Amino acid sequence: MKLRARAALTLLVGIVPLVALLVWGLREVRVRAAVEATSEAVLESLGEPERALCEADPAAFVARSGRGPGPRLRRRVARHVSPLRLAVYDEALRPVTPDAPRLDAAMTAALLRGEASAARREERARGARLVVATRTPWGSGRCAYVVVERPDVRRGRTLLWLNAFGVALATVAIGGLAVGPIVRRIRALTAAVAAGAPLPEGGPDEIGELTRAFAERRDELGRRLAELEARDAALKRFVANTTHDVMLPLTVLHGHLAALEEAARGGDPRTAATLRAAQEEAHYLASLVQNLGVAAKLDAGAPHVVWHDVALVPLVERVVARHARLAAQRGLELAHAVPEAGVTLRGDVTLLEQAVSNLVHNAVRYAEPGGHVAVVLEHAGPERFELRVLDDGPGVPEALLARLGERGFRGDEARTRQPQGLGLGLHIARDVAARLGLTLGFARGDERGLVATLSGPCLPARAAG
Amino acid sequence: MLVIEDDAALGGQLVAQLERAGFVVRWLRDGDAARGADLDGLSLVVLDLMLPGVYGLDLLRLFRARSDVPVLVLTARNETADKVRALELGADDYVTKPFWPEELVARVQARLRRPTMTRGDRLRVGALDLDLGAHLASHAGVPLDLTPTELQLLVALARRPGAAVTRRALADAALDLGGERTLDVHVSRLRRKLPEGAPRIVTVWGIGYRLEAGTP
Repeated sequence: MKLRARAALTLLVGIVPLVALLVWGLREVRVRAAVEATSEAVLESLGEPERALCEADPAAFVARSGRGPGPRLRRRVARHVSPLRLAVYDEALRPVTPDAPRLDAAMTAALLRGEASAARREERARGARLVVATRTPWGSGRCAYVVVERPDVRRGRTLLWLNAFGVALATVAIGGLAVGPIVRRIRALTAAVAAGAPLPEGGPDEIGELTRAFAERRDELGRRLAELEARDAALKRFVANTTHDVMLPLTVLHGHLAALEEAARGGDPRTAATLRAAQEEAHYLASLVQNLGVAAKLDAGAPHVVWHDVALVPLVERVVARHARLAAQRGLELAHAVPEAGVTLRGDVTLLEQAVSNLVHNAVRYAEPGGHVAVVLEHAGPERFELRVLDDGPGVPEALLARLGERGFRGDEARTRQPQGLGLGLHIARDVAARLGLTLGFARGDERGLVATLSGPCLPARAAG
Repeated sequence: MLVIEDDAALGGQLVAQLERAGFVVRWLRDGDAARGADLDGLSLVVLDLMLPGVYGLDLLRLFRARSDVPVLVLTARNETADKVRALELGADDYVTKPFWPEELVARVQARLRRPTMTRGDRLRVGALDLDLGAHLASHAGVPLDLTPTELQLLVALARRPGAAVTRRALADAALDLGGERTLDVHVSRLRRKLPEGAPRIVTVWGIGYRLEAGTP
């Protein structure tokens, strides 16, 4: 709820019961005054002649005209209130005149206790009435009590409530006016903070203190952010340069190892085995450096994903070519199939290529000599593709299989290089799939081995190059 | 073929590897020399993007303005933006460092591979001749007696000789009914009908079949 509405509501909640209480109190006071005034008027108009008249003929006493006090009383009391009804009760509180207003138990009790007057209110269809019973100065015989029934004093009730409503409304309006400048200043502050604009002048009050506290914290955050950005940029430069510097000699090393292996062919089998192992390590090292680069990009968040059209066929061909040597050395058949029409999807070629490379590398590493690895890219509908990496190696236990697809699953084995370990590669493949909106699933092969399936939307086949 | 590579060790290796694969290679070591390189008669350019004194992409733009020769880019910065930029500027493919010698050679050969479809509706693989219009197959001039399904299968394989074709793709191309289950029967009959010396149909684990050029 906004500040202004909250202030208005608070004022309303406070004012309304107060006004209601006031109205009720005022009405009580006015009723009491009316009762007393009526009672006094009755007493003033009674003397010995009236007592004699009443005892002799009560009906004439309360008549609307004649010598009784009725006309006088009417004139006095009814200046403001009319019509008026008069009645006489005897000392046992029995009505003496016909059509006398009824006295209730509380009034009877009060009068019998000896009180000079008693009154009650009575709601009627044509407005509330006041019934006021007054003990006559002599207080005995047939005319012990004079009872007056008159309209209630509540003629001004609507006006009273209108006044009360007006007071409440005025209070709320004044409250709103008072809150207005505060709300405006807070809004200005919010807008400035949100837009990163210079903060408004604070002033000496609490809002001023808030503004200054904001300004100080913002300056400090800005300084820290600048420091961090500078550090991040330096680190990125360092990593990029280092990667570049590492990749060149690593490429040359690959070339030397390949040449050495060729030269040593047919020679000492131990030399050949050592060279194979050396090439595997070089391959692993290259893959590790690439994976660390991709992991850094993934950890850095969305801005490091460059979205563009990725042609999957050359990507698969590059990945297969990359692992061909390793597969040949391990005595594996590494084959691939791609559709003639080509497959193009929206993605990031570096991330995607590393993900596919990791799946293939994984299959090649764990396949057994004489085994097979196949990479199959197919359309799975007009605008979907499916890329499967199959091997006939030992596969993965069922319990682990379910966890391979879990996001965030990175056991200790991810950092080990044991043959059973999952390696960093699969985790990166899974993270890349999630980041690019693709699905990566793992299943057992038909007979043995593992099938990794990467699937997702692609551009329509005819548009693909 | 032109190799533009500033690193002496890597440049030497690239030249040796490509020459061993049967290419005639010229090697330029720096960007300035490469600017004025004569591109006429080249079948392909291998360009390292990290050259001293000149940004490799500028060189690529320069080449593209002068010639349609295929350009294969070598990159050590594994950055998507670089690759996208290179492809946009007209590079045909890229290889990320580090790479194995055969990786580079495979990409070069893929780029230079001639389309198989030689003339309209005729396919030739070695001595195997497939006339798509007349629905006829012959080997070294001798007609082969093939059923329509067998001919369709052979055509599907011969469109991309040496490349594995999935069982699903073969079934889609040649089999109306029965699907993949009857594929092996048809392939087995087709194999028996191909004479000695003709391209062979090789089973590829996990994928399907591949047509390998036979010994002439």
